[in-house]
Amino acid sequence: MTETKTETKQTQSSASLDSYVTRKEQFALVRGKYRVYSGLPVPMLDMPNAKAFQAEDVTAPDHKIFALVCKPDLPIRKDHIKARNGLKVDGLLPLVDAGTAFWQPISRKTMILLYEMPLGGRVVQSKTYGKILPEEEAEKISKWVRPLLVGISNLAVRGLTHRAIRPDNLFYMDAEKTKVVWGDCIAAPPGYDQPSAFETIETSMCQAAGKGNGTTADDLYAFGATLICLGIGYNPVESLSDTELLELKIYKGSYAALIGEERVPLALIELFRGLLADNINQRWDISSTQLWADGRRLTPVQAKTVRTSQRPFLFNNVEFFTYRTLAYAFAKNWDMAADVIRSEKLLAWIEHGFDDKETADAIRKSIDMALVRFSTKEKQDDFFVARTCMLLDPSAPLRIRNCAFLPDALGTMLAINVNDDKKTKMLIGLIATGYLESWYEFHQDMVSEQNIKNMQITLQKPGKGMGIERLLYDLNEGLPCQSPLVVKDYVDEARDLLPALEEVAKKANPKTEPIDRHIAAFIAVRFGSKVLEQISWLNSPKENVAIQGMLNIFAALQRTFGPDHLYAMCSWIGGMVVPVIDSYHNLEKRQQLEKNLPKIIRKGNFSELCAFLDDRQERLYDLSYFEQAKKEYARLSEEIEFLDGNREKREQEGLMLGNQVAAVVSFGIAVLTMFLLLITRLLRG
Amino acid sequence: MTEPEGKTKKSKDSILTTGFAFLVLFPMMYLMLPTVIFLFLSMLPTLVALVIDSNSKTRFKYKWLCIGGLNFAGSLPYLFRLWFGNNTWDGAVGLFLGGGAFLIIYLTALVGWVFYRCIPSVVLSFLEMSDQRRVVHLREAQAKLIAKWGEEVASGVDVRVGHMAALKTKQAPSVQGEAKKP
Repeated sequence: MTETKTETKQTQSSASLDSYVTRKEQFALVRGKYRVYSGLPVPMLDMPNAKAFQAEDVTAPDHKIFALVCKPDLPIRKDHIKARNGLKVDGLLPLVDAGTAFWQPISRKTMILLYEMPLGGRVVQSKTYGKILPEEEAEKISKWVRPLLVGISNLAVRGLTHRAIRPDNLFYMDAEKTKVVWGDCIAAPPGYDQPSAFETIETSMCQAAGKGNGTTADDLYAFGATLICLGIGYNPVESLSDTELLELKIYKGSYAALIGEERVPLALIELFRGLLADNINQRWDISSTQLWADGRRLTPVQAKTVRTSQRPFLFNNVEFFTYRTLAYAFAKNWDMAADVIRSEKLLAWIEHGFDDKETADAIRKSIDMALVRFSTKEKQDDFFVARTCMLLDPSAPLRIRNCAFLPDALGTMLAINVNDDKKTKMLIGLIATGYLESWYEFHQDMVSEQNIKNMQITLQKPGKGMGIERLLYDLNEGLPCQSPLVVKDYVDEARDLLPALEEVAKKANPKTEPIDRHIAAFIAVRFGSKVLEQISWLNSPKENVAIQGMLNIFAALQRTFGPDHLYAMCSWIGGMVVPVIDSYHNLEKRQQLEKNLPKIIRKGNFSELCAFLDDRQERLYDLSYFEQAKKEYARLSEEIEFLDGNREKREQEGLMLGNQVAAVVSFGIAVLTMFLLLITRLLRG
Repeated sequence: MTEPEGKTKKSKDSILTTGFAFLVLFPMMYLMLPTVIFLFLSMLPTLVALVIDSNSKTRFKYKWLCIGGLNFAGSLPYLFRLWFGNNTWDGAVGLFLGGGAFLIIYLTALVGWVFYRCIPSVVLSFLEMSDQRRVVHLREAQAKLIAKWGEEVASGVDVRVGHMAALKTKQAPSVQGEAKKP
């Protein structure tokens, strides 16, 4: 019996070993040296929008790493990769490397982030985790507050924000669980996965993609909220919905909303009040928090009293006493708000309740502006309700009906909604019709206002390399090219474009256009100003100029990034160059080009193809000799017309000439006769 | 100056010129009377042709020149005989009427008329032949241009009549030569 059990165990263990070996055979290779095993997930390290898998550095097998496989349709934070790649930044999970690879489970390429393995695992593994912060204050500060603050500080000095600071994104780097670090913040847009508890009132009002990079102050707020959770042992507002929590924060303030009835160690109250201050000017910054950690006790933050009206404003059967609460209510009941704002009641309340004539005048001006700018009532309402919300609560996000985002997150909003035409059109409308300008106007941010004006100019240009696609790549540094041709290849850098198109060319329909609007905009943004002129050629109504533009762009890309040979692409585009050949006037030259074209195409080099099709000297010769030939042809035609066109006139001229000849002959004979007679007479003497 | 005044001055000038010419020529005619009489009789066909030309509405008035040239050539041998022989009024008339001189002189005038009738037709035929040959040559040159540059080369060709006069004097350069690259 014992033997049988042992055999069974042996059989099971050998089967699982086989299965493990089989799963290890399936891997994706990142940057040529990291194997990421798609069959070996590590659910313990999963992020909400990125699954974790076992990974191995082929060049250093002892280096313990894991991989986070990003969702290809979510824009990642490329600025973090650039700043942190290969560096060990204190307080943060070290990012070893990042690169794209084909990921079998989703049958497309995606971004894979390689992190050092946190040997102690995740700090928080379930919703109720018990008090994690030690009771002793010194240990609390040295083991938790300081290292985590260092992480935030290290990002701040690099001009970055984390925006994924929450208890379940904390890891123990060592097996002894002494060193704690913040986890990944790259795989998703800033604040995308953050629950409302860890977001400020302003960002809580935004939709997930609309929170923006924010500032270090947002990270410090989340840090405060995280410390509360770690101190209490659970999230005290877990049971509340996002809306309930937001309303609670608005009415009570963040500190009161989060702490609630919980008992917090006395020493930490000051820290929490400082970090959770809703007024950004009152919130502790890194140095204040550092000072607190060093033992300097600062003056406790007293929440600034919000201006309130003595008289209530009744809206939707609720009495409001402050601007922010009313603005929030307007944003929630958009259509009702329009009618209320149009009426004089609101303006009277503002003027009498707050003695704030300035805001009242600004609202009147907004209504006038809406009437001038928009023709339909719905659009007029949208515009002045949005502006009124901005005026009443300037730090709140831009709100328009169901959409709310901070203008900082415009790029992310565009990226997330790139395949949703309706939402994309709405975002274009917000840029083009002055909503974003208004938001920056109320923040007196002239630079950003000018940027929006530049965006409007870009949107007005309909050609390739401009329009909404240009903004999409301008505002999202890490967004891969969204062209249907290469979207599955996750082309996030210009150098990856040609290899991806080479693969496309092997299967593509010969008539497919190789540079669509997305590819043109992607090249314009990621390849810089080197090919801007050629991109403008793409919009030429002359087919040959557009094709020459395309050839020159590919040639420049190939010269800069390689590869040396692009056989399939050259063959694909070689089939489209007929208009370029036909742009030569000389038929012999055309025949010569057509004859030699296959040879050049077989070389797979766009520079050679360009030089072959568009020799500057040959072009000049062709043009100048063609002009000469045209003139010559016209001259010949005129002469033919002269000789053959009007015979009557020509006959008249012939007759006149004949008469003149006859007269000359006649008088010639007379002169000759006289001469002969004179000679004869002289000879006779 | 008004128009009647201008006319009066013109007619005065004309009378003066005529008067002066009469004063000069009349003594000369008197001195060379036999020659004048002989030439008047000999050149009668030319005079007739001149009168006809002057009265006709034809564009080209070369008849009297053609007849006159040969008429004069026919008169010259007899005029020499007059000058170096009996250069008198009687001698001039006798020379013209005697020996069939007048017949020969008028025959030469007839040859002049034949010249007038035939030479223009010959010249016209020759010119037509030449034109046709040139047109064929020009069309060949155009065909060569089209073969080399395509139909585009003929686009926008606008024949302007004003250029014809210039073309008359300008000799066309070789089409082949200009179309070739250096």
